Amino acid sequence: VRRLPGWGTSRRIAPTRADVALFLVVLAVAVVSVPVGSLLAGPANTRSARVEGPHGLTVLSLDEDARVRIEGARGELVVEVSDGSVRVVSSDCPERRCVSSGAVSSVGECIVCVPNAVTVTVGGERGHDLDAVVR
Amino acid sequence: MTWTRSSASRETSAWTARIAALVAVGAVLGLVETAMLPGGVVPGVRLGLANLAVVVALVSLGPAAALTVSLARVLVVSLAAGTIGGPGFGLALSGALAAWVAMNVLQRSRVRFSPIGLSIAGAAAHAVAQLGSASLLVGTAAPLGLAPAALGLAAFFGAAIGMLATLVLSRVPSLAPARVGPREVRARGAQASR
Repeated sequence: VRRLPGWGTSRRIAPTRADVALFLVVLAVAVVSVPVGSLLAGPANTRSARVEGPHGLTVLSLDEDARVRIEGARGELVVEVSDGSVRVVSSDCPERRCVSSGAVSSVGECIVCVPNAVTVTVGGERGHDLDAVVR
Repeated sequence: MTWTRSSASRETSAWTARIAALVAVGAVLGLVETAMLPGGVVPGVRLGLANLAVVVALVSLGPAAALTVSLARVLVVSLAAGTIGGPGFGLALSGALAAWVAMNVLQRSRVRFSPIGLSIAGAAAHAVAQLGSASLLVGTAAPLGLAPAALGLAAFFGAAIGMLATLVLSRVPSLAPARVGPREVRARGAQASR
């Protein structure tokens, strides 16, 4: 175990030259790795709405607003994308539970219309939500 | 110097007691820090107050003591927080181990680092290891994208904790480097200072 520089003679904080060099190296690595970091982080939002039903599969990007008509088993649904979330605006079904489900936007959330056999699922990369906290 | 059995065991007890005290300090500092900064500025970046205990242990009691303090602290805090065995526990463990390895390597190197340098290295290694193992857990490289911000902050936080460690070490006589510890630790210290 090495003695502290200045131990016993001075109580001032005295970083050695190696300390300063290390500090600068770590900072430099941080600055240099910024482009690599943003590359790894990737596009922040690559979410999409997957509309599946008797008609097949329609994929809508959540980044741009859109309004599409979907042919269901019993009639027509209108699916709308706005402000990064998706909802069913209207549907030809008895209870309209799909409409009252409201808008969904997080990856994995879904809206289901049973009578029309249509599902709307938000798919894509997980966002930066915390799923573990380190203590 | 001749060692009688009683004085040797007394030395060992003193060494053990100091390790235990540092584990307690580290655990409390870790909890204080969690309470102060919930979530943190950038995920994976922390002030690293708990590393203060590890740096002090490394400089005054040697690498074995530092490893003991570091692992025992992680264990105690995970047990208290109920995260033991979970993904967070793996992250904390990887960070603690990486920090210990980095600080140990720097302390053994021929270049002269003060606790400030050791602490900076520990903080940087801690951040990179946590983000790296988070990437492994998640299965994508996305968490590593936070590495630049984490490293930049680690340099500053690490330096601050290192300065604190210097102050503690110079003001607590019983933690004077190379003055305490069982015979083998002292012998190793004597070799290193040669």
